[in-house]
Amino acid sequence: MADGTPARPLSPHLQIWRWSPTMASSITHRATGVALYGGTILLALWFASIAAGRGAYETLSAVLGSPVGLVGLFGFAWSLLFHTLNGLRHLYWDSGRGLDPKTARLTSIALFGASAILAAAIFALALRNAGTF
Amino acid sequence: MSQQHHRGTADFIALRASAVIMLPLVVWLLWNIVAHAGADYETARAWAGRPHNAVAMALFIVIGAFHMRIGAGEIVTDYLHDGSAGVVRVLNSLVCLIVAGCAVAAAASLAF
Ligand code: HEM
Repeated sequence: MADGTPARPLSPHLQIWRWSPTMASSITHRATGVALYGGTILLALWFASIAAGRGAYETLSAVLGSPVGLVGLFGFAWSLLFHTLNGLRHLYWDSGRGLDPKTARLTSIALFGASAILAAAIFALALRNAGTF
Repeated sequence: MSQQHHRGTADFIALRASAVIMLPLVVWLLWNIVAHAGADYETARAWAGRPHNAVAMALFIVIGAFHMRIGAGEIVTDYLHDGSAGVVRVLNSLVCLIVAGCAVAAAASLAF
């Protein structure tokens, strides 16, 4: 840095990666973190709409229940599951374990599968409870 | 900018501590979303009016805002190397502060 302070380590730049499940899960952790940024704003809006009153709550509920809203909610549910499960893996990695390429590759593939299946199951249960089907 | 560079370790720990605290709250949130999906206003209002629900919701959003401020700051450090980084950091902090404040205010007015 120009001011002489040691720079923080940066993530490798996007273009120099060769595709692998492990790098896909790494990028996806970042992408889901950004998606959850939006999701948390939305969650706060939803919570505040209950306090604001019936009109606000029913308007927001109608938006969330529309086809576009449901796709967004599914994205939120999947993002939360992937990011949380992969976050757990990050914490395990921080202990110095599970880092060898073979294990990392396997757990990456498992994470994509598990998060998708869990998100689908949770979404189906929620839709059933909501009486949508 | 230099201020951001020697706080790396504190941010690393704060990001992970907030992640650990959120773990049980994520389970709680998903459980409650499934249980109350499609609730009408009366049901939602009664649910949010129970103090333990209001507190858990506010906690999830406040700790989430804390965590995402640091996480997004990390992304800024990786990708923004020009003058825009400072502005984006201030905006990021502002958004996260407003989100957390809204959640606390809503919980206070709903349940206390
Ligand atoms: C409100 C929900 C959440 C939001 C908005 C959020 C957002 C973010 C963002 C933006 C990042 C930075 C990503 C990057 O540097 O590439 C991040 C990193 C991280 N998140 Fe979350 N997150 C949330 C929930 C969680 C949960 C529940 C966990 C639980 C384990 C978690 C664990 C982590 C970890 C371990 C990292 C660091 C990853 C790394 O060092 O690269 N997050 N999060």
